[in-house]
Amino acid sequence: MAPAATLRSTILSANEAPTEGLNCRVAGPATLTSAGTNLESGTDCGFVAAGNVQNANPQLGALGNNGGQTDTRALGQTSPALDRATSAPCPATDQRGTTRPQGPACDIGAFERTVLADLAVTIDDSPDPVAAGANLTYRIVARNGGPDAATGARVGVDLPSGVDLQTSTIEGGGSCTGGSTLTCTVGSLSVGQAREVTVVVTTASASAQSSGGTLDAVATVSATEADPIGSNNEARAQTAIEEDNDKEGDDKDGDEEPGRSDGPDGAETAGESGSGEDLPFTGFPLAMVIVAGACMVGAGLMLRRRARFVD
Amino acid sequence: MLVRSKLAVRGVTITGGLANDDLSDGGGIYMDGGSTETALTVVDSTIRGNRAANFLMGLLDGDGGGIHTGENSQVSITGTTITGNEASDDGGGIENDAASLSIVNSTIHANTALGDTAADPEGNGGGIEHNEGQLSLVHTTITDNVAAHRGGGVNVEPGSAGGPRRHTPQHDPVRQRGAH
Repeated sequence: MAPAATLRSTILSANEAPTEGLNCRVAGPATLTSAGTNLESGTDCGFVAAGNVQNANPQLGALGNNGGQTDTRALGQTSPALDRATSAPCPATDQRGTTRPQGPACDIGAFERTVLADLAVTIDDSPDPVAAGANLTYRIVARNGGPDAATGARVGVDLPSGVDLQTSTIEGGGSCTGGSTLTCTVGSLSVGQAREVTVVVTTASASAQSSGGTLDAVATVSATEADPIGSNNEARAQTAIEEDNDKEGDDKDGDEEPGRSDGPDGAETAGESGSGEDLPFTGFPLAMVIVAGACMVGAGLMLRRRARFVD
Repeated sequence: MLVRSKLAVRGVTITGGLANDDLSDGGGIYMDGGSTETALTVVDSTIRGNRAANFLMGLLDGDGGGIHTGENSQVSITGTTITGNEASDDGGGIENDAASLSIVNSTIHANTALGDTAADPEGNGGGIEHNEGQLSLVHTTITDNVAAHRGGGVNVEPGSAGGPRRHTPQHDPVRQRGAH
C-alpha cells in the first residue's frame, strides 16, 4: 500500500523548501488527503475542497508559554483559523488543555483561542449623604473592555440592609430580579459598549437606624467569556446617612438660638458635629467678663483719682 | 532514547539527543521497529533540540531529528511540541518509516532537514518525512520547518510501490547490528 497521509483541521504555514512543496509535497502513488477544514499559507497542499482555507496567514504568535505543559503558538484575534474547524467533532481540549470550542466552533490547529472579555463595573450613589427615609439612587455601569465581545453579561447588586427596593431598570429594557441581592441580565456587550442599571431604594426611617452610619452597596459583573482582569469586576458605594438634628437634646424644637450659627440653613455635613457648635457659648461669657473687668478697673481708677483730689 | 517494544511517556522533555554513530537516525527517540507490537505513545511532552547527524563522513545519513518511528509500529503523539530538531538528511522533526502514526493537538515548529550528507544531499520533509505507512494529522500546527530540498512541512514519498526504498532499517546492514 502506498503511503497515505490524512490531514484534518491542521495548519501548515510558512514552511520552506526551495525545490518543491513549501508546506506539502506528495509523490504519487502516495496520497495526501484533506479530511476537511485545514489551513495552508499557500496552495501546494492542494486543500481545495470547501471548508479548507488556502493562501491564508494564520496570524500565529511566537512559540511560547501560553499555558499548559508545552509551548504553543497562539492564534491572533482575527486569524482565519478561528471557528473554522467544522469538519468533524474536535478534541475536547486543545494542546494546552483549554476546552474546545471557545466561541461558535473549534479553531483550526493545535491552539484554541480563548475568548476574553474584560468586564468592569462602577457604581454611583445619589444623594450622598442621604436623609433617613429618603430615596437613594444607584447608577451601576457595566462596560466591556474587550478584546472580545461579551455574552450573557450579568450585574449583581447587594443592597444595604434596611433599605426598601423601589425600582430597578436596565438600559435597553428589563429589570432586575431578587430582593436584597439583585441579578440584572445585561446580555451581550460589544467591545467598548457599556450599559447602565439604575436601582432606586428608600432608606429606613430615622427611628430605625442610627444617625451617622453608612449604607454599603456592592455591584459585581460577569459574563460567559473568561475575564482577564478580575480586579475591576466589583465596585462599592458607601452612602452616609444624614445627621438628624431633631435628635439633639438641647435643641428639640429646631429653633436656632441667638448668636448660634451652624450653617446657612442648619444643614450639617458628615463628620461635622460636636465641638464646633460650642464655640459661641465659650466666647460670649469670656467677652462679658473682660468688658466687666475693664469697667471695674476703670471705675476703680476714677475713684482713686477722685479720692486723691479730695485729699 | 531507543524503543524496542512499548514506551509511553507523558509530561517529559527530551532534548539534546544526538544520534551520530552507526545508528544515526532518531536524535530524540529511535524506534527499532518490525513488529506491530512495537508502540510509542507521547503525551503532553516536548521533543526539542535533538539531532540526527551523519556518520562515516556522511556515508550514513541521519533521518528524524526528533523521532524516527519503527516499521509496522503504532505511534501516537498528542499534546506535544516538536521543535528545533535537526536531521542531516530527511525528517527534521519526524521520520515515519512505515508506522501507523497519529498526531493530535500538537505543534511541529522550526525543525530542519539539512540534506548535507554525502549519501543523500537532498533533505526532504522539514517537519515530517513520511516514507511508508499511514499518517494522520488532526488539529496540529506545522510551521516554519525547513527542508533543504522538498516538502518543507510534510513530505510524502511514493513508498516501495513507487520504486526501491532508498533507505530503510531492514536494508541497512550497519543499522541492523543494533549497537543501541
